[in-house]
Amino acid sequence: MTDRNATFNRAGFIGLGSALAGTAAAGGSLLSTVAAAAAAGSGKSLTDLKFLFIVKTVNSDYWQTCIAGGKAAQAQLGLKALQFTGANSEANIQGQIALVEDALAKKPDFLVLAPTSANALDATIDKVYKAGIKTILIDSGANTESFDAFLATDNHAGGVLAAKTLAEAIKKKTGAAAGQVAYITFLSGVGSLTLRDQGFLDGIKAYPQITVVGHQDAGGDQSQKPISVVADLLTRFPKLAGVFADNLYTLEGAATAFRENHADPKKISLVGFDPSTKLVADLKAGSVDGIILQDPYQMGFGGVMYGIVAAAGINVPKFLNTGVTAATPENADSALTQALLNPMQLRHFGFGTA
Amino acid sequence: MSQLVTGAPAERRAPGRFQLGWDVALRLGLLSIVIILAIVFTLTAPGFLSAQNLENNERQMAVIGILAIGETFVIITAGIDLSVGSMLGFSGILAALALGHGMPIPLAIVGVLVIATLLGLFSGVLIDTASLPPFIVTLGMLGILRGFTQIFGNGQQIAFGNSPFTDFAANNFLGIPQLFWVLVVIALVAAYLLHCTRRGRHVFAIGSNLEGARRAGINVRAMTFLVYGVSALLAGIAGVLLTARQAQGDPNAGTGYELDAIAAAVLGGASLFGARGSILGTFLGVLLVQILTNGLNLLNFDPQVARIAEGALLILFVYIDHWRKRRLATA
Repeated sequence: MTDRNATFNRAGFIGLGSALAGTAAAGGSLLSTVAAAAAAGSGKSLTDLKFLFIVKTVNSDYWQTCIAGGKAAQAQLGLKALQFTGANSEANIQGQIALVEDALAKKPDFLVLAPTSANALDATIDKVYKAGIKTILIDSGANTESFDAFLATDNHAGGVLAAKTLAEAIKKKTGAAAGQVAYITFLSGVGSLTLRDQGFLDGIKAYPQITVVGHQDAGGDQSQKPISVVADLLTRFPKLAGVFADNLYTLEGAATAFRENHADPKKISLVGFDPSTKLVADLKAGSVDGIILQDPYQMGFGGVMYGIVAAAGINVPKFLNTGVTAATPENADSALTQALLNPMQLRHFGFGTA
Repeated sequence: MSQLVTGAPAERRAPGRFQLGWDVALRLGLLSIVIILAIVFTLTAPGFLSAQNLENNERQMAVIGILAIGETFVIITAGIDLSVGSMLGFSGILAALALGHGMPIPLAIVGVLVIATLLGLFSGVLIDTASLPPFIVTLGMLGILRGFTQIFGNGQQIAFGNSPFTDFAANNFLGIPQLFWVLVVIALVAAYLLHCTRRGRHVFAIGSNLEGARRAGINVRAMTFLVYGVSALLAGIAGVLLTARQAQGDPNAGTGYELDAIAAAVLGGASLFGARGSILGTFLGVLLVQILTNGLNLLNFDPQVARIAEGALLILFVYIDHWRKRRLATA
């Protein structure tokens, strides 16, 4: 169920990445070519390249995986990272701006950045880019053209995939892709979540017998509120056939609300974004029907790779879709799902058989 | 309040009829708002009165209710505990880690609660012995505990897969969620301690007039340790219960809950100037916010509307209280 377009991009890019990494280990000629190009571009050899890697917050599984990808690239190529860092929360925009401004002072060759806000960081990103630092954005975009490459999930495609996965789960349980569904937003106004929700609504239109009856916003709370809003949806719509949750916290809240309300997993389906250890256990037990997986490891690894290539003066493609994959109870043990769920242990890249 | 009480704290035992009347009236006012809301939602919101929805409400108010009861003890002494949300997260992560490493459930729970209580006593030491303002000490603890929570959890959710522990949060006893039973038992014990014992009166006395309480022979130090210890213990219990409910430890759990707990206590009649507050009032405050949020959700309002209504009610109640105080002062 991998998004085809993403697979293509990923395969193409990883060809370059593994070639680079492979030759680095072997000390082969491609490496010296790139190193020479890097030297020509920045006056430095490959191992002297310095970069900063700034995510939204270090306090999450998702960003830890992303950092692990960046560190894997760094370690294999022997690069000097100055810092892998992030603010103390995804809401701390000023904290991230300060980190990026500090980064500017350190004069790295390139910066890998996951902007916390699509607007608030624009001016800071412009400054970095104009200072000649190659700028690679990952995960979330910014409303500026001052970047060399942007590696991210196509969130709209992820929403469409979620709709398809939910409809198929409903069909499997009830015999027809029909009935009432509802969706939960973690926090209104967040770009990536808005795209997921829109993708879900667009995707569900392919199933005319499914009607979207409810929508709730968890107000950005990471623990109890998502449980409450889903429980209230179950009360309000006793015949609900499915729920889509647009991020980790809402998916976990929905799973808890289903359990507490004794929702029958044979009658109601649940699909949402992003995995956790507990959600994967729920998926295998059949109480969660689909987890839309992104590839933060890829963003981290690819961000560093693109940074190196850009620092060597090579024009890199501006947008790379790192892809979405639906993990379901049926494919939970497949190589691809396992690789995406355990990127730090099993580093297969996300192409191949789903 | 404190400026109004001029004599020895013992006078607080027999409040004037006018004051008692107002306390009861405000409490009844809160209760009638809760009842009116319940009637309105029963008539308008689909499924509001269903057994499942009542269960959901009971379960959802348990964690905040327990936090707010601890906060009430502190607020009555004219103190404040801003660290309860972080303490909740900290205890929750510790419980998840202990269970994940195979520690027996009772041992893990007791261990976490002992650590939480000790940390609360430490805040008490800083406030009493080092004479630091409660606001500053607990604000510091808010940051310190959240930081440790993130470090211990490595910024990640901690799963453990301990079914009897998680079942406790999901299951009912006599048709009522066990989480709610915990809240009820804690509320009854707290109400007894606060309203029916000598130490309980000492808590009010300290909030009424600290120096007077000291001169009247009350062990202010021990009582300060006690209230911050109780607040931390209850935050620890809330953290363990939330971890059971979510079947995992979450390093972000409880962020901002200190303000919800304070708001509930104040809605219930507790005064940040000390010497006023009750467990029943706090319980009603939590219940009001819960019913309001649930009913508006069922009516498909934007969840932010509930926050706006809660904030407006808070200001209205405190305004009425201050109006009363001015009348009392001129009476």
